Amino acid sequence: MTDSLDLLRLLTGAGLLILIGRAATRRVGFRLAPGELALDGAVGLSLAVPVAFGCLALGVPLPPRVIAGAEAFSAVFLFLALSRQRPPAESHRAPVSEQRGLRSLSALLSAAAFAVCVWKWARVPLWSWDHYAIWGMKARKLFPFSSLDLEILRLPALTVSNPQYPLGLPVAWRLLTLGEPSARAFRGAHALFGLGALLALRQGVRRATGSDVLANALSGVLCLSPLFWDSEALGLAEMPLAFLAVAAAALLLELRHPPAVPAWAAGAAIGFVSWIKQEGVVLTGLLLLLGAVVVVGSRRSPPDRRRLVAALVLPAVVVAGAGWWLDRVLLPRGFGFFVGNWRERGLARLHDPLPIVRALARELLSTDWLGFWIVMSIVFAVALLRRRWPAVFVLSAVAADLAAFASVYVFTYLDPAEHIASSFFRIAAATVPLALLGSALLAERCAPREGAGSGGMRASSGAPASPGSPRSSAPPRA
Amino acid sequence: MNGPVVPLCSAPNGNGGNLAQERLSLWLTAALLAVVAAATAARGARLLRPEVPLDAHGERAWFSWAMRSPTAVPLLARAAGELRPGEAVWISVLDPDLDPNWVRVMATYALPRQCVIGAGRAPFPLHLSRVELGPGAHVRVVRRDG
Repeated sequence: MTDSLDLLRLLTGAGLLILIGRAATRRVGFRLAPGELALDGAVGLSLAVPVAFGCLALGVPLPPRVIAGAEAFSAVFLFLALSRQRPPAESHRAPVSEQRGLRSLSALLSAAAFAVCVWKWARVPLWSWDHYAIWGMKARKLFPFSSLDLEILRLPALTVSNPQYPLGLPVAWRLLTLGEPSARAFRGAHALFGLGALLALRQGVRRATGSDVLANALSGVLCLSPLFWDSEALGLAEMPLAFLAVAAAALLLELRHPPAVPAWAAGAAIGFVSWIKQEGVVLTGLLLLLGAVVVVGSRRSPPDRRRLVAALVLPAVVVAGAGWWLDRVLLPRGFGFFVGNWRERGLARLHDPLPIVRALARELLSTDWLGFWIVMSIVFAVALLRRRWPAVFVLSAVAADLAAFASVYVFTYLDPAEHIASSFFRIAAATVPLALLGSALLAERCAPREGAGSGGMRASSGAPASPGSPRSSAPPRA
Repeated sequence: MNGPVVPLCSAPNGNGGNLAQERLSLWLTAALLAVVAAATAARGARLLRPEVPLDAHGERAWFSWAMRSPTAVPLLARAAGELRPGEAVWISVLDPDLDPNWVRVMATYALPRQCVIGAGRAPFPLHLSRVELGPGAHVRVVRRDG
């Protein structure tokens, strides 16, 4: 009975968030395309969590019924408020000609790979320490009587819980599970975030290449990755971060001409990535840069591009800025990795960076990755040689994200080798969906469109190229 | 009026090159699907065993640490029945094979409703309820009021 109640609450919470996202993205019609639902869910979370956190910070209690009612009201309100706006174009990319049997087989394989992961998550005997003492603890303890009480984070005994970490995820869990998440609900939420990451990746790949088979194959690869298979990530922030990052990137692809979602919704999703984890701040910056490149590189007039960049950047900065400000005002400082004389430490380590580089390489070349990062390096080199700029940009963003965190190990107050061993693998795992999406962009024009023949490939925008348009291999103006 | 088209990608180099690309793309996708099928089948088969396979990167480190003394955590959990929710508890680690730091961490899992003050070889100087973990799977609760 409790099992089905947990499941019902989780599905209701997820459904309401998707409704909010659906109303915000103004999708055409009532089609229930799974990939679109995942992106809608990401937009819904990006809008609902900051508002809920703001209410809680102002002292407004949010019991489960109020959460459900407010979410339903917000969805209706957004739907009515935006009903006068022209709906965006249908998210559609001319499908490539693929055999139906192959499509079904690849979809089945991808579903089986995900089901195996869910099976493992259901059987893991013990929560990892970071869930128990940090993320899960906050979701359980910070909301007595459905209100926010941050005093517990000021207890010296709870310094281990990193009180300065953003609170977007604990609030997201409460919205998803409509109240205090049980142990089962945490697992269910993890599975939902995983499914969201898989579907968002699939949607992005389909949007870019038009190939269902490739989209299913890459979704299957995602399920093989340590992000899914390593249950240490169960109940931690990496899976939600990966979901929101890949959903934000897929929403950026939806902005290509003709846009299938409003730019402000994509911007809000990009800004919300920073609410999940400190690593998300770097990802938000990189995704914004990617967004600007997508818009600047699109077939639009300069005023249109400026308007679109503003519509994308402004909500992202507002959402990310609000999160940063609330954390700064409300949360105890804790101490970061730069505590003490970090400059001296860093300079000393930079004299001989080899131990750090070796430790990082050991993590990325571990057999658990099944050669993933080696393949990604090859894909990046090929993309660079063949001047496939969308793939180069996305994979560069992944590399920049990893490099940003590698630099933290240079200045950390911890022993760098131990710090790398305890965190870099998980941080890298969270970028896997984004890397897979980037690699799919390499194949963006390889697949033949139905009715267009093999010579009828369109460029990355998905729109017909105007006659004589110079789709050359020159890089975009940024 | 549309502005100049900013190219994000190049046109295919004629039909021959395009056909080769398509073929390569098809082979690569087929190879990916084969890898997914093989790995999923292997992992699914391992999950059929009664013991969950916990040998991924993070699992190796965490579970080998957390489960290094499989009997101690159930012993602590058994003691939970004799303690009040919210009660402050000290864990006296009398078994020389157990590391007090490890017991301190794992006691928070086993006694989620109590407040674990700490764990050590000696009894805590203050008058707290104690859970004594002795050699030979021995556990005893010593009440602060008795």
